Amino acid sequence: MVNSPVQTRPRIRKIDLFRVFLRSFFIQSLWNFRGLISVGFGVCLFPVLKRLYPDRTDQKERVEFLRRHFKFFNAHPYMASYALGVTIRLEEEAAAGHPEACQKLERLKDLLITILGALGDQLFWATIKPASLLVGTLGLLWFQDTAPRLAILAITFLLYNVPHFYIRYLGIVDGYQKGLEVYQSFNSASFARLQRFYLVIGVGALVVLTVSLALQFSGQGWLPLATYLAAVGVAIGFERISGNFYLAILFSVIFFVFVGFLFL
Amino acid sequence: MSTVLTSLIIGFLSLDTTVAFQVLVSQPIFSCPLLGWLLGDLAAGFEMGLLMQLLWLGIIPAGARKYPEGNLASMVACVLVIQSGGENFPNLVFLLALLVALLVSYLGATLTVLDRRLNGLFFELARRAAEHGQLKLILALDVFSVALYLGLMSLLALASLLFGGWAIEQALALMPGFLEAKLALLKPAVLGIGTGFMARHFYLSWKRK
Repeated sequence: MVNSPVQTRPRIRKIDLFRVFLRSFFIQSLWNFRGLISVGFGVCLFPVLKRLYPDRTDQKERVEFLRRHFKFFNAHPYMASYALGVTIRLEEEAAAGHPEACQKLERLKDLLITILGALGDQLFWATIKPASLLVGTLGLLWFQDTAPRLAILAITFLLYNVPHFYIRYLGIVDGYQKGLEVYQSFNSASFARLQRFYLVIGVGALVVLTVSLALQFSGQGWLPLATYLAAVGVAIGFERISGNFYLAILFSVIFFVFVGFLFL
Repeated sequence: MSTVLTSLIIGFLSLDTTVAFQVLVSQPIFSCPLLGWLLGDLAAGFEMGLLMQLLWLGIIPAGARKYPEGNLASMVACVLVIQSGGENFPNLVFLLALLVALLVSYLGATLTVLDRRLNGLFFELARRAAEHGQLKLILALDVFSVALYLGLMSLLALASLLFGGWAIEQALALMPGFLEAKLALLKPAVLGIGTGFMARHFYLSWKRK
């Protein structure tokens, strides 16, 4: 698939990349405090290992391969696909008789830990996930019948999983094709555009949701509306001051139960 | 459906939070309607999904941090509400289910840390297996670690459903009737708290941008 030197080893096929993609859904299955996602990362690469070193006589190379990937490694689970792609490319080069590729690979993986973690956390956990789920929550609030509610859940699922699946697969292919030049992908404006797009969706959905809930509660009287608005303020203030999730919820719930006892 | 089977389904859906798939099916707006449908009350599932989703939405399950297991907690709360009567559930039932959910989210977080410590042992075993090129053994350890998480979360769900169901039954029998009206502000408050969390989350994201 790539312009690598003449080699005696079998080469990676598209089906191998697809198998790695499928296994990547379990990349965090053996998450632990010592190696973080390293075992999952290594297990994702089994189809590559079997392709490059198919015979039992390759035992030494197989063990070296596993050793390289069972060290400490961490990344955002979706963005780790870029690291998987580069790894496949460099492992293929190493198998083709370029042992220096392994040293490059180890240095690159160390560099990718921070980049892929920060990029994925900001893009998916902090932006795409809350934005998509807010759209779903808004839909459940607006529609009362089952059919439109199911439709909005389907839209929410796609809103999140289209970029998710795309980046998971693209990362493997892109990393494999670009090899050490993969860092160019992280500098591209497309990630920033994608994040901005979902940030706008998220903020827009939150504003509409807040207004919708306020209108809904205003129809029930001033006290439910005042409670809703006050709870927004209390949660923001309490989380800012204490930063404790449980305390913020417990304090707010107890406070408004007390208010209910006073005014109802 | 039996409580044991329900707990297993909750445990299976919990895998989606961090261990496998991560396609959002464990999030309350998906998991609660699914459980509602399985338990014969889809409407209550939708309602609980809507009420619980915002509370945990700002939590980022990244890296080594300990985070509340809100998805598991929401599923437990949803089943408790449905088992206690379902659609148009009383405020008192919702309050008790919410309190159980907070406890479950804390215990779930602790169990996740325990699971990750146990995975440290599997990690060492996997490294030893790697020294001998035993791919099947490594794969078996990987699968076993998923099964362990499934087992731990299912057990927590089972214990919570049994305890929570008993507690709600006792509370409904003992609590005076007037209490229900006094708790009318609970749902606006919970939705307000969730909105507040999300407002702060997006304010910080926007500022960083």
